[in-house]
Amino acid sequence: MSAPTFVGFRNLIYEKSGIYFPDNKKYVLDSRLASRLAEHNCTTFEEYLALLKTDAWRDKELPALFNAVTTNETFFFRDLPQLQAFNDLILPAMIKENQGTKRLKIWSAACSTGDEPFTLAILLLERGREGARSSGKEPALAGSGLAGAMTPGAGGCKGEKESVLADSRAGGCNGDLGGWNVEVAASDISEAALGSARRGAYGPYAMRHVSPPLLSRYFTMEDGLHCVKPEVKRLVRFAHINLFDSARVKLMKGMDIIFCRNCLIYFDDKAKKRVVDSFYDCLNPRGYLVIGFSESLHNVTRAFHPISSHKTVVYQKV
Amino acid sequence: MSTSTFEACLKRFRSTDPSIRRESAEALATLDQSQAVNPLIDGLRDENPGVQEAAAAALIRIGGPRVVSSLVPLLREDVGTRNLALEVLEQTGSAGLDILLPLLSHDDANIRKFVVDTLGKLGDDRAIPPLIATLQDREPNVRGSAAEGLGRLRAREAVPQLLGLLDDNEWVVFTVIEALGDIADPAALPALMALLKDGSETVRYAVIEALGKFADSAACVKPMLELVSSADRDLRDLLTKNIIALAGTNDLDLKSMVNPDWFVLVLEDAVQADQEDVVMAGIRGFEMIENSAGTIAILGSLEGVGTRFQARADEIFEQAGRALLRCADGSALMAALTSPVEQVVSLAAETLGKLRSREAVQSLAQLILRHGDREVRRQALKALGRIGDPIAIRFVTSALEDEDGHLRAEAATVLGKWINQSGIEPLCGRLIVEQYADVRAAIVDALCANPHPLVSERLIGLLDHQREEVREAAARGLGRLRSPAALRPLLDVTSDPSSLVRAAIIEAIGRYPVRAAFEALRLALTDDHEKVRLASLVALAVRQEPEIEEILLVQGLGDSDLWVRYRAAEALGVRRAMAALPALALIAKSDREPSFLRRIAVEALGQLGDMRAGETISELMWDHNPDVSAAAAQALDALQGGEQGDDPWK
Amino acid sequence: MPKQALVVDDCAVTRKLVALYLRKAGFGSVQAENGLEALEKLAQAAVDLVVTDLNMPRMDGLALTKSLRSEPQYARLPIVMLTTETEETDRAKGMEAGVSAYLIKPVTQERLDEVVKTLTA
Repeated sequence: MSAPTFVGFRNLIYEKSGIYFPDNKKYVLDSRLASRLAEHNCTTFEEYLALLKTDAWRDKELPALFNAVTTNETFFFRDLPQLQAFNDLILPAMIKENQGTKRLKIWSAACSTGDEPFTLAILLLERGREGARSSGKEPALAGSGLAGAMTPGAGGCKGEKESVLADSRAGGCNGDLGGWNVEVAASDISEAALGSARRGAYGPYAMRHVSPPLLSRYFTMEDGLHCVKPEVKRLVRFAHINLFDSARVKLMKGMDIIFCRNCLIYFDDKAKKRVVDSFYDCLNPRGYLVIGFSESLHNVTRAFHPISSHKTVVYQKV
Repeated sequence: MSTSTFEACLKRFRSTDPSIRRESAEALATLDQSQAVNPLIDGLRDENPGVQEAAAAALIRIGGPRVVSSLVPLLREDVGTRNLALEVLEQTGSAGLDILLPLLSHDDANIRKFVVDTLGKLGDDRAIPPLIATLQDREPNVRGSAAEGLGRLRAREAVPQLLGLLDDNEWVVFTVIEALGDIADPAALPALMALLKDGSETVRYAVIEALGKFADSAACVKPMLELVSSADRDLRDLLTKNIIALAGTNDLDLKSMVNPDWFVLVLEDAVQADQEDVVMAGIRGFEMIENSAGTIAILGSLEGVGTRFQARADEIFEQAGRALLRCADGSALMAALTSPVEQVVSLAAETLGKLRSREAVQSLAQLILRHGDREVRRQALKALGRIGDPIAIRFVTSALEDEDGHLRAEAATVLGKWINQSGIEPLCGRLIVEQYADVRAAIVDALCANPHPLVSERLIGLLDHQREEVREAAARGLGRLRSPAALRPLLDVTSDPSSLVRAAIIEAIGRYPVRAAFEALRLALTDDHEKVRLASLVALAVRQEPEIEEILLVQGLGDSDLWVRYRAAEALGVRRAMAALPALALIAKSDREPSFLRRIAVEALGQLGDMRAGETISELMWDHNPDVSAAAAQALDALQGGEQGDDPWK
Repeated sequence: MPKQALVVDDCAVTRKLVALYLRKAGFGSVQAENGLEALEKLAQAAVDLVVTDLNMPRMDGLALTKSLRSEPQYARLPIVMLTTETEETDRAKGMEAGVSAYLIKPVTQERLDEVVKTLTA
């Protein structure tokens, strides 16, 4: 697309969602918008842009547009070190902190097709399991031997790496979440992604890091897809939230832990600050924020303290 | 604003609860700007960082000279407060230049430096003359800061004075050279060149980096090239990086400027360097000189890249892809197909595809048959698709029967670009037995990509296949093709026993703008299964027949299925069907309906564009349900904003 | 294994210069623009030495020092404060917080080398 057209798209997308496309990401729009053009029988980008501007269907089309440009590759148990930090550092701290209320609220703030919130739910369920055998208090997530052995994984694809979860037994504190009221709220800007998430059915690619014991414990197979079982779904509720809509974000109060991975990279510093400030207000004191492992808050805020665990950094509300 | 409200807020600002203090910071600024300044300055000293930040943000919003003068005293308080005050000054200083400039002659060098730092970051050209004057300050740190600020402001007028500082303390000289690079005024070149020969090692480093930013590169590149042979490893890396950067930004024909045999050796070293910037430069260098030796060097370097440079590995591979295309050494690329590093194999395959390398077809086919990694096999398939000769296409076709569903889908997609008569049979053959929905979808996409008349014929034939998934796929395909010959057969099978198939057929029929199609859709609204009714409603919603509004209103909103009602409400809003107002209002107000349905009803009311809907919407702004109240607020905005809505095209 | 230093300063030019000087003293370096980024970088890689500015946005050198010294694994990590601040109180606070050496800018390559070699001997 031409430079002025690109600027037009960039402004509209930024205006409506805070997502910013710098010049060197123009190619993303060039390639991802093609399907939207086809859907509306537009032959040029300018036509599609005009449609977004004048047509009564604009508000209907915007979500589809967001969906097309923010599709991120996502899968279960992504960025394992962060999940280990969640399990070994954050959860024990929050369990101690909320001993009195026995409540835990977690928010997966850019949940896309649901892989992340369901992963968290599974980790929570694993912790809460009672009567689970535990030899020498092995953590549910094996820390070593990750860069794994090549063994055939689920889904019939050769050469899948072995899941990085060891045979999972409940975490060192046997069933320490038993009897707790735990909620995972999950949100995304894309209605289509949320639709997928609510269905909870995944192809083999998304499952490639899930170990066989977990697969059989928490998923059923239907039509060649792995479907999340009801007891996992019960822990998670989905809502449509545009993180740039501060008023809407502020309604998410009393969070203990917020995950926002691989979403802030789309924002410029100003938008990032706005979102992180809202997160601060949503978090309980001493609550935790986990952002993408390649992202950082150091030029955005002083109100979160970085804590290192498993060679990754998570942030605590000071 | 009443003082008592302000005082109440002030009290909250002194609460023992930090979250209340933080909230009130913002409120203080909105209530009374002038009275708020002092308490907010106090707030910068709060023990809680969240409160500090809110106070800082509020002060930045207020701005103005009073804020600036109130911040100055904080510059000599403790470290934390000092630096927070500076952060705020950087955003507000422009309004208080008259207060800041006199401080440039303050006795305390620390104050002078802080002021200079701030001036340099304001982005305000009025700071340039005073900064130039400060280049003569007695403190080296202050001089250095002034130079840095002038560099940021790209102050050409400062160049003569900056050049005058080139024999100062090394620390200052380093900063001055960097600034000269930022300003990139060619008048500085002679002095910089001199330093390149005579300066200390540290200084030479700074010069080389600075030269990388100049536009008049021909003058810079030659001397840098001359230095390369005698330079040690580190210096050579730096030189290579900057030579390539210069050549890049100025579109130099590097190829003609260098002796290829010699320069290839330099680049081979560069792609093995420790720093990723240098590796990138080496790769880019090969792209520029288009020398086939580059292929082996680059591929060799890439083997280690994944482990050495995790964060930027993707960028490096992308750059390598471009370079490999230019260096175009087919046999080296084919040798790389046996590399143990999967990403390298994928890249080699991709490049061979782009080079349309027929010699590689057999090797690529072997990859598909033998390799363990799915990504690699997929790249090989795509490459074969690009090469496109008959043998390649035969291999792709046989991949339609691969045991990995992802590969089958990729094969279908690739074939879609090459569809001709001979491709249709294998695709249809696969469709009939395929288990996975996404592969079937890819096959349908491929068949419809190039509408050969035979495709339509075959799909019509599949409308009575025994497997319902096949009938469904056939219907979807026919809907995409919209061939006139297909309408009759579609209409004939609207009573298929499977609801899945009926829904697909209805969707397909919906695309025909003829009356017969409309009648079929209308009938389908009475189907037993909600999916079929939904498909029908969705299709009807975008049609033009006059009866549609009433159908949406009566049958749509009255349907037993939630989603049908949802889409009906949505469509009524878009069509501005005023007659639907009462019914939509009923849904929006009913707290027995689920949130998302109420929300769409509210949205639709907003889109009717008529103020009569406004009353209902205003009521709903106070509804308990946050989704509903938020939607009502937006709808009211839309209703009232009308033409003056946010214009994103400023 | 060559020694590694963490260079913390909000001014990019200063970081480059200090990194160059440290290279002559035999150190590779990692850079950070304030105390927060410094903590993040430390999570990923061990270092043998920290050279930090005092005045930086969001988390200054003093706060960084206090944070590091509060963790047992960093109790003996050499921390050199390298700043333009000439106030005695800043120096005193720095030493109290556990800084290993306090140097005023501008510093010569030889002086930095001397200090650093002593601390990491």
